[in-house]
Amino acid sequence: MRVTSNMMTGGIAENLYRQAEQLLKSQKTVATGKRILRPSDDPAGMGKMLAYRRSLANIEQYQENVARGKMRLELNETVLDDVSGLINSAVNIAAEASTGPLDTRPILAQEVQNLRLQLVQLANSKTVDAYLYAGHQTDTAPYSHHLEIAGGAPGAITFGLAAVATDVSIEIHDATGALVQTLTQGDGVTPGSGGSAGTNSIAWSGPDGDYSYTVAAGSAGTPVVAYETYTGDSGDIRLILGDRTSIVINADGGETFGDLFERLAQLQQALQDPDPVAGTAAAAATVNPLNMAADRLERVRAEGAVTFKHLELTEDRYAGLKLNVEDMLEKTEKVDMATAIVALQKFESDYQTTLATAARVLQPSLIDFLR
Amino acid sequence: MANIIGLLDIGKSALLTHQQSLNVTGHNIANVNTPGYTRQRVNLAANSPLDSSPGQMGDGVVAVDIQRVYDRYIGGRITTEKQAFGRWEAQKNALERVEITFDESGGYGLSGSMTEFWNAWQDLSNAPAGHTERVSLVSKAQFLAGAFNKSAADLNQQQVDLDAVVKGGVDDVNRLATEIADLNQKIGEVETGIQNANDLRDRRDALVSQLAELIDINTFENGQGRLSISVGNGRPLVDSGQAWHLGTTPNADGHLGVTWIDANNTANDISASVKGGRLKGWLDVRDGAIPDYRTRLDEMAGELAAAVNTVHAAGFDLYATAGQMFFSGSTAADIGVDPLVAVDPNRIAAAATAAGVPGDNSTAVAMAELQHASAMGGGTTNFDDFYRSIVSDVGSQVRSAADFSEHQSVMLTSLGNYRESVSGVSLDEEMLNLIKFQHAFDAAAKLVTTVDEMMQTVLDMTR
Repeated sequence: MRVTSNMMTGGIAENLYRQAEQLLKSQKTVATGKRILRPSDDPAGMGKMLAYRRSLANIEQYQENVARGKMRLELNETVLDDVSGLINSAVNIAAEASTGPLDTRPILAQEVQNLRLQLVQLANSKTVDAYLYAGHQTDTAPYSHHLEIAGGAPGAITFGLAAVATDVSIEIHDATGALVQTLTQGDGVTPGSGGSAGTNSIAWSGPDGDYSYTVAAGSAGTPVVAYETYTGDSGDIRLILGDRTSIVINADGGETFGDLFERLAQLQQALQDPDPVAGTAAAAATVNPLNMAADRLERVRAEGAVTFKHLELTEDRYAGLKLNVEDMLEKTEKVDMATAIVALQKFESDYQTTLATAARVLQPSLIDFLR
Repeated sequence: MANIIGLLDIGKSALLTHQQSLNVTGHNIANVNTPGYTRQRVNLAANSPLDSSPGQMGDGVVAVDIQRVYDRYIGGRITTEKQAFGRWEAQKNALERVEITFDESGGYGLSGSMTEFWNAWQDLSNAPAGHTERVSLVSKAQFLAGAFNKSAADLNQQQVDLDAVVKGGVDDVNRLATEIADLNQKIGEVETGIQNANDLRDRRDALVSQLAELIDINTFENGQGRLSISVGNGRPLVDSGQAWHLGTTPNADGHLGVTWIDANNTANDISASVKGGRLKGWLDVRDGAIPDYRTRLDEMAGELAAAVNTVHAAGFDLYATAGQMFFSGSTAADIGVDPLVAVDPNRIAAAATAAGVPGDNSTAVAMAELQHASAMGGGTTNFDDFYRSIVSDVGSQVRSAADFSEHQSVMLTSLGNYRESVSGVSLDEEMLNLIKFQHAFDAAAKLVTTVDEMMQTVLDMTR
C-alpha cells in the first residue's frame, strides 16, 4: 500500500484525538468518582441508579416516620404509666376511706381532687403540635370544657356529674377569658337533662368562636362534683411504615381512659358525702371499677408495647436495607477507584507513547537524505 | 535515415516534456496539504516513429495528457458513507442536548423532585395540621411542577433551535448546489477538448462530499463530465449547469419542513423523503425524538395532576371543606400548583372526613401511597418507573446515535486512507520524481549539447 506523509500525520492526529478523549473521560471519572455522568453513559445503569436513589429517599422518609411513631409511643407509655400510678393511689384512698377515721376524709377528698387535676393534665398531653388522646380533634384538649361555635350552629355543652344535682350553673367564657354568659337551672336555657348523674349535654348558641365553660353543681347545699367528659372522637392516626403499608396508632382518649374520670369524681363525691355510712359504701363501690379501669389501661399499654416492638423491628429492617441499597447505588454509580486510576495511567502512557512515536515517525523524509 | 536536426527535435521534446513533468511534480508538492487534492501525473508516450531503414526510428517523447490519479469507486463510497455519517453525527449532537434536559446524575432532576413531593405528603401525614409541613409541601409541589415546566420548555427550545439549524442546512445545500452547477459548466467547457479539468474536478468532488454530509443525494455524470444530482425521491438539485433550490416552509406542527422548489416556484415538502445527511438527523430529532419525549412527559404530568386531584377532591382541608384542585393544568408545560392552594396551604386536604379535621391524616396517607399506584402506561407502571423509562430511552438513543456516528467516522477514516493511498501526494515519491525528471532533463540538455557539437563537427568538416 502506498503510504503518504498525510496518511501518517492524519493517522497520528486521529489517534491523538481519540486518546486525548479517553484521557479526558478517564480523568473526569477519577475526579468525580462517578461511573455514570449522563444517561447515555449507561442507560440501564442510569435507570437502576434512579430506582436506588428513590428507594433510599423512601427509606429515609420511612425511618423518619418510624422515629416519629416511636416518639409518640414512648410519650404514650410515660403518660399511661403515670396514669396507672394515679389509679393505684385512688384505689388506696378508696380502701383507706372505708377503714380509716372519718376526719381524714376531707383530706382524702382533696387528694382525689388533685388526682383528678393530674389526670386531666395527663389526658391532655401533647406531642409538639397535637393532643395525644383526642382522636382526630388534635387541636382541642380532649378533656377540657371546650365549645366551638361555627356557622351559627348551636354547640353542645357537655359535662359529667358525680351525682344528681339540683343547682347547675355554667359560666361561659370566650377565647380571651371574658365571661360571656352564666347559665343557671331554669334560667331560660334549661339544661336538657340538666342535673342528672352521668353525662349531661346542653345545646347553646352564640356568635361563632371558641368558648370554654366551667360547671358548678350542688344539691341541697351540698356541692356535686362535676367532671370532664371526652370531647375528642374515635379517629385513628395512621403511620406510613413502608410501600403501601401503614399501621394505625390509637389516639382515642375515650377508649383509653374510659370511665376513669367518672369513677374518680364519684370517689371524691363519696368522700365529701355528709352521710358517712352512705359515703363509705359509695367509696368502696368505686374500688372494683377503678381496678377494671387499671386493667383496661394495662391492655392499652400492652397494645402500645406491641406496636413499639413492631416499629423497632421495622427500624432495624430499614437500617439493614438502607445499607444494602446504598451499597447497590455505590456499585452502580461509583467507579472502583483502583481500576479507574489504573485505567487513567494506561491512557496516559498510551498518549505519551503516541506522542513519542509521532516525534520519531514524522521527522524523516527523503529530503533529509538528499545531498 | 538518421538526421541531426531530427535528433535536435528529440532533445527538444525530451526537454519540454520533462519540464512539464517537473511542473506537475511542483504542482503536486505545492498541493500536498490541500484538502481534496488529487495527485496528478503526466502520461508520457513515445512520439510516432518515422519509417526508415533499417527500421522505424523513434522520434522522442510526448506528454499525452495530465491525469489525476483517482479511484472512482472509493469516491462514490465516501459520498455514500458521508450521508450516513452526517445523519448520525447530527442526531448524536442534537440528542446530547436533549439528554441534558433529562440529566438526573446530580440528583436534582424531575425524579428527585417527584420523590421529594411524595415524601412531603408523608411529612404532612405525620403532622396533618402542621403549618410548616403544609408550606413545605406546597414548595415541593411547585418545585415538581417547575421541573415539568422546565423540561417542556427545554424540549420546545431545542425544537426551535433545530428549526434554525435546518434553515442553515438548507441554505448550505443551495449554496453548494449553485457552486457545483457553476463548476459543471466550467468542467464541461474544459473537457469538450481533450483536456482534463483535474483541479476543477477536485473542487467539485469536495463540494459533492460536503453536500452528501448535509443531505442524501444521487449523482450521475454525463458524457461531458457534467454531474447531475437529485435529492428527495429523484427531484433534481443540480442538472448540468442549472441549480434548483430547496426551501423551508412551516409545516402543520409549526416547524420548518424542507421543501423542493419546482420550476413554477411551488414548494413541495420533501421532509419525509430526506433519508440521510445532517438534515435527516436534525429532522429525526426535531420531529421524532423530541415530540415523543414531550408526549410522554405530558402524559405523566396529566396523569399525575389527575390522580393527585382525584385523591385531593375526596379529602377535606383545614377549613373542613372538600378538597379543591391541587394541581392546575394537564400537560408538562402548564402543570402548576393551584393558585388557591399555593396562597393558602390550609387548603391542602389531609383529612378524609370533614369531622376528622384537623387530626385525620388518611388523605395524606392515600396521597403518599399514590407513588406506588400503577397509574401510568395503561395501569402497568407507576410514575417513577414511567419517568425512569424515559430517561433510559433518552440515554439509549444518544448511545446508539453515538455508536453509529463513531462507526461511520471510523469507516470514513479508513476510506479516506484508501483515497489518500491512491490519490494523496507522497513527498518522498515527488522527490524521487523530481530527481528522475531532473536527470532526464539534464540528459536531454546533454543531448542538445552533443547535437550542437556534432553540428559544429559537420560545419568544421566543410571548412
